[in-house]
Amino acid sequence: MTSPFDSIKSWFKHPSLRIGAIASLVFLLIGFVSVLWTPYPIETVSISNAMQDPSLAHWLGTDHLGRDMVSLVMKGTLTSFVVATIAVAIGAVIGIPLGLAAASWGGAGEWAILRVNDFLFAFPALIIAILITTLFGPSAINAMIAVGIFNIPVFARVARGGALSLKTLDYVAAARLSGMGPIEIARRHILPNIASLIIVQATIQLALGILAEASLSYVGLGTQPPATSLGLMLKDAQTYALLKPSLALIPGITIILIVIALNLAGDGLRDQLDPKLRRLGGARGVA
Amino acid sequence: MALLKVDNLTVSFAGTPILEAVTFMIGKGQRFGIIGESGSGKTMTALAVIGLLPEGATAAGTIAFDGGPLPDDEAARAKLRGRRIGMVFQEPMTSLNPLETAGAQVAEAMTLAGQGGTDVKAEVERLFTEVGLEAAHAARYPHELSGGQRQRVMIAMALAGKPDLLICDEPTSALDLITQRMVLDLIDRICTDRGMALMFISHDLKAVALLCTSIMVVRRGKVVEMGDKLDVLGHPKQDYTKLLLAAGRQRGRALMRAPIGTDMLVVRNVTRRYRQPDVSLFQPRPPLVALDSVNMSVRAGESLALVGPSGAGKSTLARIIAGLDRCSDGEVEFDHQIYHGHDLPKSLRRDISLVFQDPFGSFNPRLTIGESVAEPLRLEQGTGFDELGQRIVEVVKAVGLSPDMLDRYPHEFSGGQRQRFAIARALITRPRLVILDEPVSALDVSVRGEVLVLLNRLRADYGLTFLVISHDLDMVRIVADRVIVMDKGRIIESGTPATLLEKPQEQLTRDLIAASLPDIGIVPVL
Repeated sequence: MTSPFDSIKSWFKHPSLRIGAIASLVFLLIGFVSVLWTPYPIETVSISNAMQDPSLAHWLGTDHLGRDMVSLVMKGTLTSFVVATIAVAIGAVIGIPLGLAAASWGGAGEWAILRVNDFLFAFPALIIAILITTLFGPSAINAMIAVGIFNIPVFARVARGGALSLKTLDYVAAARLSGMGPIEIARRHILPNIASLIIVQATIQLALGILAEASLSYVGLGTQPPATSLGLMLKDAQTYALLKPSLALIPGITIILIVIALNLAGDGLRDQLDPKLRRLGGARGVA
Repeated sequence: MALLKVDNLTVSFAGTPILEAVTFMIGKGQRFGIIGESGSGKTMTALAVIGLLPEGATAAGTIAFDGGPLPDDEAARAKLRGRRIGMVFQEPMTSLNPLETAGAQVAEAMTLAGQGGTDVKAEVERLFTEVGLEAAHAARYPHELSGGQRQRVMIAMALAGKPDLLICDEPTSALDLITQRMVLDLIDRICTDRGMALMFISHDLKAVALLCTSIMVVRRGKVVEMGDKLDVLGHPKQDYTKLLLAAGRQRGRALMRAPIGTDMLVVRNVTRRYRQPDVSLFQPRPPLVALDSVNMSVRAGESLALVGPSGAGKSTLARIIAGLDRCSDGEVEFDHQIYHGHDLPKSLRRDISLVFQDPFGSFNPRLTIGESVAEPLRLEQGTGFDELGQRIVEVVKAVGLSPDMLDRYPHEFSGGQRQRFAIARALITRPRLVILDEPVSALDVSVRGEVLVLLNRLRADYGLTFLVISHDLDMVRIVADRVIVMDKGRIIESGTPATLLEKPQEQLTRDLIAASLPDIGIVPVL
């Protein structure tokens, strides 16, 4: 019998999971530190210090308004994570119950939910997010909602797929024989068994959410100054791209690193949580 | 001169031995049976012989085929595999390629083995006839064939290279009783016709006794007993073999029981139709009729068996009675209350319970066994917490297990233990009617007997009424007072086990009886 500690240790033997999880946690930590402390306040403009090269005082230099790039990247990382996390939460909280309901009802209810899903899928998500943010005004909150809406069908599909494969199992039938209603069966028998699928999907959606937030901010429809986000930093830097490429490269590379880290973590988690793949991985490990 | 000689074969995974010092030999044309429970290493022996051990396994010892050692080189092994050794796997559903026709797969096996010469097609047709299929079956895809037909295609593929040794790994355990007998007879005939040696792996003593002349009994990777069939089965020396033989005979008799009362459950004209996907928009497909006007009744205190081939509608009927499915027409009456399936009155839920066939799928892997067993207690509103706790302990003891096991998770138990817990869960509300859907067919032969004895004892102790679904007539003889035979959604015959099994009226019943394998108790005395 393996203890939970052993299983966590064995998880971290998976290289992409290890790299992805550690890198994601580092970025998350950077973001949270910025709530309490940044090297310089990002609201203070100091034109005399604009466009400095990296130095001991400013590790990554300063931007066109003389703000410290390290501080900006820290705050921007936080904004990206917060927006993406809330967008994923919106998708999961609405999408999972819808998917479970579709699997449980079947018939017309399922059909209706699936068609609404297809309808949402049919639109290019980012274009509609732009529409929503232009209609309701550009802000980080509207960006979260817009990205979140397009996470709903993703989670609904994953939840329905997982629930359908579990629904035919005898223990679900046994629960029905015990007089359990569909909501209780979903909570007690279905959700714990599809949790791994949902966690993996959430990690991948988080990466997509960070990209979406960056895109919306880049076109000026997401985070508004004086707050900052990685996308907004890219937008500010494009004017000076030829003059000082590092202003664009730094937020751009940060976005790339975060997204790669989250995708690696998601891939690794999927390998670990899917028993079929895990068995293959195990055999490979032995050989 | 031995065709296959296995000497001191030890197979281990990461240092843990799966097989230990297995030594045996098979002569030309000899029929060799390997008996053991699941996990005893039977399949590993076969895989080692054909050189298909899974990655991560290390093998020691020597395997010699036809005088020479088994080659280490994969290419040389592959040649040996197709041409000299043929293999039939357990699961016919997954061992054929779903994207190619049956004929093409047999032809491929033939070309790879360098057989068939110029007219492969004619040769494939000849093989299909030999395994009892029509030539037309060659053009079909695996999903268009039944389980028995697929297993015949597998046998044809194994025969394509004209092997000297045929290895069959539980070839019939996924098939129903009639098909099983037909496939066994086919293997028997082919081996006789071709003078081919056979290595037959099974947990079913009767099947091995029917086919083989010498037998090896394995347990936990070690050889328990080996020798001539008549010696091993007639005068077993080891306790384990005796135990297996006793379990195979299954001679538990019903104990005292409550007198049989009046009708408790009445099924009237129950019909169940399933919609099938239409062929096209304008060409609807008629609904599939799973149950066709079924009328029957179960009396209080009796044990009624529903018998029939797979697809006869037995399980559908059970699910309707238990309230898991609904009938399209007709009604069910239990204790003077009428329902149609899903609308089973809540007050009756605790009176009808169901034991599922597969002990591995019937427990949520993320809940402890105790939580799962206690689940139906939610139906016992108004009973004190302490009393419910006692109820759990009582029912777990009644099925012969210990209450301290309740904190463990399902994967820590064997199939037999899980099935006992499943029975405990079904009994915890003290139901009046217990439906048992193939309660022992997923279990090893050696534990089947125990579970059947347990069921009979519980029935006597608690005055239960049983509705048993099975295709296993041996089991029906032990547990049932009355038998109903079903085929294609209809009841075709009914009677007591004695009259029905001695003097069957219908062809299907006769087929079922003819298909059950001869008792091994008789074989060694010959």
